[in-house]
Amino acid sequence: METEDGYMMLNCKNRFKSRQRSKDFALCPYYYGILLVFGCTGILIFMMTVIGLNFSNKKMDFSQNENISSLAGNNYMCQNDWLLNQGKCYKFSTSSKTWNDSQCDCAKLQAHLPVIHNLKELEFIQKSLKPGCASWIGLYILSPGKQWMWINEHPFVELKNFSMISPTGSMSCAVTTRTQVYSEDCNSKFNGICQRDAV
Amino acid sequence: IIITCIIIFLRHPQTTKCSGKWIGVRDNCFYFSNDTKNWIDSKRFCISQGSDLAQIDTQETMEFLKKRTGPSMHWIGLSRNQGESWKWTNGTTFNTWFEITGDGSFAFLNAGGVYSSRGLIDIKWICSKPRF
Repeated sequence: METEDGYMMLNCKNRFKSRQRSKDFALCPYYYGILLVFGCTGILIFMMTVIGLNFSNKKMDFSQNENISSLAGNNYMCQNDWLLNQGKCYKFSTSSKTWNDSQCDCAKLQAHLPVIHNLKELEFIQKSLKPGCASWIGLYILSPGKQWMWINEHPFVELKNFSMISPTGSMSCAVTTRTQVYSEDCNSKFNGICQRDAV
Repeated sequence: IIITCIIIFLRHPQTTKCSGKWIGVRDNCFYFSNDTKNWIDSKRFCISQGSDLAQIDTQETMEFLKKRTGPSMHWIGLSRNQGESWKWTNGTTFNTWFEITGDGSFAFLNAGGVYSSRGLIDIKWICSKPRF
């Protein structure tokens, strides 16, 4: 009887199983199909995101490479939002501040208002400015009798294309537009330019 | 429709469009330069066009001008002699309804506000003239 019971049980289980199986089979084409489609789309999306991420990473790499390669020859480099010229990095601010505040802003970036050594540097700065924009440079004069000085305490030497358009009251500071360097009241507000050595 | 047109025409008989590059705001036409000049030369240019450096009377106009100029600096028709108050180019005293930053004697504006300068820098400018 035990064996019979056992057999019966087995039989039952088998029957149950077979019933389930047959049910599964009956639903199979439907659900499995849907599952397949979902699975595939899932995998597709996953792959696309992976590829996308890879691509954007590569893109970022490219931009960095460009930054470095543009300096090929010498190993100079600037941070992303700085412009490189002749071994120096430049950042052009678009917020109007007094000469002092602009200088402070630059100091926070381990930089300073531009000290310009030659005409090429001046041309680079002027060409980088938009028409109708005037920006502070690191040049000032304490009083009319004195000399224009760079912020590194070197005296300003006028060049053929680098002169100052100036009536100088008491203390004056220099701004440059795309075409010319002017003296302005140091408390007036203009954009700043920060300059620092490239690494 | 015809009646409303007639009514509008009768109410604003003097309304004319601003010509060419001039842009109309309320009762005035404005010209935004592409070129750059100092304040005096900008003023001369405006006068040669039958206008003057921009006079700004309403907040609405001010907001429009600021938006239109963006970061570029533009001369407007405000100046002062040392120690005197600001005056519009037509001689009327400025009633200080907006702030002019700095100690300079010639005013310019951009999206950031109205600032003052010594007037020598070459920047853009705005002319204005009445619409009619």
